[in-house]
Amino acid sequence: MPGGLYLGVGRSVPGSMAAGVQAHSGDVIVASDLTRSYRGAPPAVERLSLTIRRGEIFALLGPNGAGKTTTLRMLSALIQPTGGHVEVLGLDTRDPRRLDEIHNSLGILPEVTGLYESLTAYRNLQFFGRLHGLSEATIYERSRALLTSFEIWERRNDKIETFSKGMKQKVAVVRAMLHDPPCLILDEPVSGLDPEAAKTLRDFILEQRRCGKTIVLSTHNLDDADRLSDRVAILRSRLLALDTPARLKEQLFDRVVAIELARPGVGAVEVARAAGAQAAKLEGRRLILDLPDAEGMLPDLNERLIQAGYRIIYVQPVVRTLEEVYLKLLESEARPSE
Amino acid sequence: MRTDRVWEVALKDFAELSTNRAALFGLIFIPALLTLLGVASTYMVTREIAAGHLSAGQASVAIYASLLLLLLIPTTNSTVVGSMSVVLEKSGRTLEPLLATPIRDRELLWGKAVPPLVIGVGGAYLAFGIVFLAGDIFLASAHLPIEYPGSVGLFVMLVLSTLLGLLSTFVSLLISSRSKELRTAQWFSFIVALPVFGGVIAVFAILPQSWVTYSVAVAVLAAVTAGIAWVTTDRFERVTILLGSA
Repeated sequence: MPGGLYLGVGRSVPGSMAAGVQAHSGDVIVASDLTRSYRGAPPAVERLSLTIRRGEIFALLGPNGAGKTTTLRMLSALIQPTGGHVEVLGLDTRDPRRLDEIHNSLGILPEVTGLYESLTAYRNLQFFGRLHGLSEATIYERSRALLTSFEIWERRNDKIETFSKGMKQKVAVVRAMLHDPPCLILDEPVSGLDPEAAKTLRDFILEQRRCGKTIVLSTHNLDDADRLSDRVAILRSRLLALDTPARLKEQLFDRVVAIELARPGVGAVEVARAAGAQAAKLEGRRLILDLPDAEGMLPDLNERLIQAGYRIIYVQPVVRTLEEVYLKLLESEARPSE
Repeated sequence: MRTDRVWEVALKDFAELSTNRAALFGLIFIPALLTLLGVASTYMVTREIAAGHLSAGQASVAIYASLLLLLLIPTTNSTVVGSMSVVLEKSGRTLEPLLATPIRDRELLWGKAVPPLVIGVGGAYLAFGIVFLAGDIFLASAHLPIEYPGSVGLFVMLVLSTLLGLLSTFVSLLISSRSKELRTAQWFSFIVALPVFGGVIAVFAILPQSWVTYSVAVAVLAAVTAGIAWVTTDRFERVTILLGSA
């Protein structure tokens, strides 16, 4: 990414609306017992409580219809919960007198870019900037900085309908950032983008965190969530899990270890089971083991394998992915009685 | 309520509308056609009177009929533009970022009301101006013994245009805020607005032309319009607009 943008975005900018929002050192968003029901349907979101901390990237994961978009809409005060409540920077979203402050402290990127196709990129930004109360000079300066960083400043006077999907997404991100909000809420920010555009946006999100912004995102891309987020919430109407990606992996899976053997044999599986492995299988030359206490069990297991005549080439932990965590959680949620 | 936000929404809608050639054609074609019909019928009436084929009374009825027809302009144009303004925000998925700004529901409603009012009522004012001017010129140049409806007649027509424009605007905004499809919004808006237009035509074309008739008809139309404006203002809520139901 070309330099110059993020210094301007993350720090004080003339006319910034964020300057008008009272700083809260603690949590940026606090949701308590959030429930949202629609007529004639089971609750889209049920008793969801979570806290989003200042300066973190917080990812919402869940299958289609899990309530991610409804949750983001409630967090951004677009709709009110039918139960529970949300506080944004200490402001209750149920209080209509505080909506100006709440909306000025949040930058929203919806699932669909939602730009006016027949208007130019700059006219789109001008419209939203004016609604946020920004001066013409501020709109121009910030648009130039942000659009330049995405390398689309030269296209500012072109109609949105002539833009590619990736370019539209960039303009929508600029729109969310225009009033310099301390918190960004991004619904599927890299969905459907080509790898280059997706990388640009991922870099942008990480840069915003470095500038002190708080970022809430929903995504289907588990790899993105794993790489980007500090904490992950997995939803299926209600909260299934909330923690850092690393701790979720630790909590949900025993330590899996791979031992590569010079001359593998079925007997190695028997040895491993006898040494306490909860599961053991051979994959080619690799003995894959589930060890509840890897550090305590490995020395004894290695010794037993050597005594049984096996030569060990290496021992390596098997890294679980967030996808495995996600699928395991959803599977256990689908079979609650087991 | 902040008028700068109201104005900004209205300006944006005007800018979008100016790029929609199909909509512009429809919005210009119907008023132009009705205005042309008004001018032509006035000219024809003038010739028929001069030829002795029409009495002064018959001429007056014919002139009023052509003028009343112009009231279709605020009814149709305000309905078409009003229906588009909210439904197109929904179908273009632009509503969510719009509602994420500090704009209030009333500011959005009034911002959305300005273009249909300006296009519907403004178009009607222009059409009445042209037809009245043409009528004055034709009748004066033919030295005929009847008077074209004067400033009082013009005033009544402008009041009726304004009320029909307001009614059509608020009806279409209320219905389009609860519709997902443009055709549905326009269809249901016309179902409400056209009978009101028909009622106005019936009152002014059939009942005796007198101040009492005019005053009662205008008062009833004003009361209906005020009622619909109140309901629209009360029911125009972001959650309903965004989700389609409360």
